[in-house]
Amino acid sequence: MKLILHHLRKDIHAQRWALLLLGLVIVLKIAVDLLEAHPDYHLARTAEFVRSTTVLSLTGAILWIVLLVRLIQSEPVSGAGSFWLTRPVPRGVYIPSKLIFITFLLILPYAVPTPLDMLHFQAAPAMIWHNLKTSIILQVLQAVLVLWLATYTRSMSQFWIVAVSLTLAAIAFISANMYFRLSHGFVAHGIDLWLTRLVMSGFIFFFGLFVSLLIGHTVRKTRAGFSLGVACALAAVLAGFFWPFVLPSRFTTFFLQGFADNSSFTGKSTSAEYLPDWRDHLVWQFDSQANAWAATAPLTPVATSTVLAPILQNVTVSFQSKGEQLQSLPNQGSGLRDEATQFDFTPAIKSDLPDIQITNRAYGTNPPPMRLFTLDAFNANRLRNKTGILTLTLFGQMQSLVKEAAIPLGDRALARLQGKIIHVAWLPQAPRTYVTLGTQVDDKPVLDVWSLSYEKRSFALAPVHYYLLVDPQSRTGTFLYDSQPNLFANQPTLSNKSSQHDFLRLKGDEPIDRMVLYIYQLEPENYFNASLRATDFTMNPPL
Amino acid sequence: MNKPAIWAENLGKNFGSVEALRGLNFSVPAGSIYGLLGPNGAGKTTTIKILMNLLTPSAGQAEVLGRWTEKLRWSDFQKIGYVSENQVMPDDMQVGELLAYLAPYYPTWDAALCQDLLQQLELPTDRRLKNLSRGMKMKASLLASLAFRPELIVLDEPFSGLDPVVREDFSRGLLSSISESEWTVFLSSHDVEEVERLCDWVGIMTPGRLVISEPMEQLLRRFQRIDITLPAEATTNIDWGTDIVRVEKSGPVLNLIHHQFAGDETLAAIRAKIPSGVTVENSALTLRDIYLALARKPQSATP
Repeated sequence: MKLILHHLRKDIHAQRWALLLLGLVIVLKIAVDLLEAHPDYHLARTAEFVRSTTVLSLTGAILWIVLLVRLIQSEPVSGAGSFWLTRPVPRGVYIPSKLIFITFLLILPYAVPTPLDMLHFQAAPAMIWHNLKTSIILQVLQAVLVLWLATYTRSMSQFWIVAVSLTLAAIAFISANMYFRLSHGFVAHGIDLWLTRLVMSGFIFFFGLFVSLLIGHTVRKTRAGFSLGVACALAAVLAGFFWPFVLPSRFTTFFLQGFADNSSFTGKSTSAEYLPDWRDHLVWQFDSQANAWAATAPLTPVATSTVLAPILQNVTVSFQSKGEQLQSLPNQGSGLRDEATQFDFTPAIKSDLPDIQITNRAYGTNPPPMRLFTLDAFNANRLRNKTGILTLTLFGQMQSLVKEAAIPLGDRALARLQGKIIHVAWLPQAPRTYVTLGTQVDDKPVLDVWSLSYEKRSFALAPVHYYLLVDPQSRTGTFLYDSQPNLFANQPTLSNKSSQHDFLRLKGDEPIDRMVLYIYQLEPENYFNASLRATDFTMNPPL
Repeated sequence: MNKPAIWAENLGKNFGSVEALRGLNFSVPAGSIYGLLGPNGAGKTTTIKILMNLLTPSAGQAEVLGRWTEKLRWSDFQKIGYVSENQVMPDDMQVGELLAYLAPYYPTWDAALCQDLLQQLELPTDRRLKNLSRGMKMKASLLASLAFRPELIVLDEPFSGLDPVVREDFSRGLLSSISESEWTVFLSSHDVEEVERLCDWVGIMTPGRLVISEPMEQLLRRFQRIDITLPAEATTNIDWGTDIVRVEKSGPVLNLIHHQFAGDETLAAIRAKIPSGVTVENSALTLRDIYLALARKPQSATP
C-alpha cells in the first residue's frame, strides 16, 4: 500500500498542472450549471455565454483525454526497451495506483457534478443514480479506448493523429452502416437480432481492448497485445453485421441497462394489431406533388384504444398478384412535430382534457390520415383491379403521451417540476437571432418556452413536446407550433442536461392572461415489429 | 565453487526466419567483470534482452542470479542493475525525481552512495531527463543502477557514442563502485580497448555465435603471435594444424596466430614443421589483435 501511494504521489506530482486545470474547469462547469438553472438565465443567455459553456465542456474533455494519455505514456512500462520493465516496480503496485488515479481524479470528479446539479433540480433519486451510473460506465469505456491507444502509440502527437484518424474512419463507417441498415430495414433482421449484434459487437470490442491493455501493461509481448486489440476491433465490426445467434433479451438488456432506462429497449417484438380491418380504411388520394395516387390509412384509432402512439421507423408495403409484384417504401411522414402527426395524439389528449374542443390550425378538426405508400401512374395502370396479397410491415417504437405541465400563463410564468424548470414568456415576436435560415418570421407574437431538464434516458431521442394552448373560458384548445425548426430536438442525449427553446406562434388576439399552456411529452415504450396481410386485396386506385 | 551469476546453455533466438542467436553457451562467474565483444549485429543486445527477460529465447535456457530468465520477476530486479542505450526512460522526470521515485523500491538503496555518485558523475538533479544529452542520460541511468548496490550490473553498449570525457566519467563511476564490493558486471561493447581495460572475463561474438568465453588473462596467454623468418627458397605450404587461427606472410616473415600457445612445447612443435636454423619468436597479442583475427577468420572454425 505504501508503494501504491508512492507511485500515486509520483503521478499526481507529474500531472499536477493538468489536474489543477481540470479541477478549475470542473468548478467553473458547476458554477455555470447552477447559474443556468436560474429562471432568469435564459433571458440573459448570450452567444458568448453559450460559447463559454461549450469551450468549458470541450476543454474538460480534452484535458481528461490528455491526462489519461500522459498517465500511460509518461511511464516507460510497455515495449521491450522500457525502463520500468527492468526495475522492481511490481504490477501489483503499478496497476492499482493507476486505477486509483483514474477513478478518483478523473472519472469521479467528472461524474459527480451533474448529479449534484440534479439534486439542485430536485430530480428523482432514481434519475440521479441512473445518470451517475451511466456517466461512470461511459467514462470507463472511453477510458479503455483512450488507454489502449495511449499504450500502443509512442507520443501525444502520435496519439492524436491516430485518434482523429480513427474517429473520422468511425464516422464514415457508422454513416455507411446507418445507410446500410436503413436501406435494408430493421424489419429484415428483427429487433432482437439487431440488439444482440449491437451488444455483442460492443462487448467484443471493449473486452478485447481491455485484455489487450492488460497484456500491454503486464506482459512484455506488446506486439501480441496490440494484435489482439486490432483483431477484436475487426471481430466486433463483423459481429455487428453477421452475429448469427439471438441472445435472450434479458442478456441484451443487462448490457444496455447501463445506457437505457428500463422502460425502453426491452427487445421484445411487441405485436401491434393496429387495425384488423385496415384495408377497408385505405383512402386513395391524388398527390399532385408526387403526380401519383397515394393510399393513406388512419392510424388515429390506435391512439384512441391504447393511449399509446407509435413512432414508425420503417414501413414497407408489398403487393403480390399472379406474377406481378410491387415493393415500395412509402412516403410516410418522418417529421414528428408536423401538424398532421400531432393529430395522432389528439385522442390521448382528449382523454386527458375531455371538456376541451381541440382544433388544429391547418386542418381544423379533420386531420389527414397517415400516408402509407404512393402508387405512380405506371404501377397504377399495371396493377389496376388486380387482386392479390397486400402486406404492410411496420417497425417502430411505442410511445405514451404524458402531461408534463399545465402552466397558467401570466407575466413570466414558471413551472418547477421534478428535475425540470419550464419558463414561459410572452414576446411581441420571435427574436431574429433564433431564426434559422429558410424560416419566415412574421410580426406575430410568440410564447417563448424555455425548458431546462435532465433526461432520464440515454441514447434515446430528446423528448418531443406538444403544446396545447387552452382557453378555460371558451373550453377550446389549439396546438401551438414552434416558429423555427429545432435542429436539436431529435438528437440523442447522453444523460446530460438538455435546454430547449421553443418559440410558439400565436395569432395575436389570444387572451393570454387567462389561458393555460398544457405541455405533453412522448415517453418511449417497447419496440414493435408487426406485419399485416390482406390476402384478397384488390388494387383499385381511382382513375 | 560459487554459482555463476549468469549461465546460458544452447541459447538461441529467431526473429521470423532470421536466426539472430545460435547455440550460445557461457557462464559469468560471480564477482567477475565480463565483457561481451562483437561487431554490430552480432547479437549482443539480443543476448542481454533475453537475460533481462525482455525477450523470450527460441531455444535453450539461461539463468540469472539463480533464476531462469523467463521466471525473473520484479523482486529479482532489486538485485540487478540494467543500463542500455536503447532504454526508454521516464523523460518527463527530473534526475532527482527519478532517484527519489526509485529509492523506495530497493531495500538496499544507499543514499550516501547515491550522493557520492551524483557528485562524481556531475549530474544536475533538477534537470529533466529529456533535456539531458545522451551521455548524461546514460550516466543518470548508471547512477540509478548502482545506488542500490546490485549483485549484478548489466550494461548494454554503455560506451557507444559517448565522448571520451563522459566515457571516462562513466568508467570511473562504475569502477569506483564495483571496487568496493563483489559485484558482477556483464557488459556488451564493440569497444575492444574499453573491454580490455575493464574486464577480467571476455566473450567474443561473431554474428549469431559466441566463439570465445573465458578469463581475459587466459585468453591473452593462450593467443600468441609467432613470427617465423624463413629463407627465401623455403616453402610456405605447410600444414600448421587446427591451433593456428591465422597465417600471414610479410616479406620473409611468416606471422602465425596460435590459440593454444603452451610455451616452449608449442614452439618446438612449430620448429618441427620448418627447416632447422629458422628463427621462431613468440609475442603477446592485444585483445584487439585477437578480436580482429577472430572477426576475419572463417565462420566455421571455432578456436
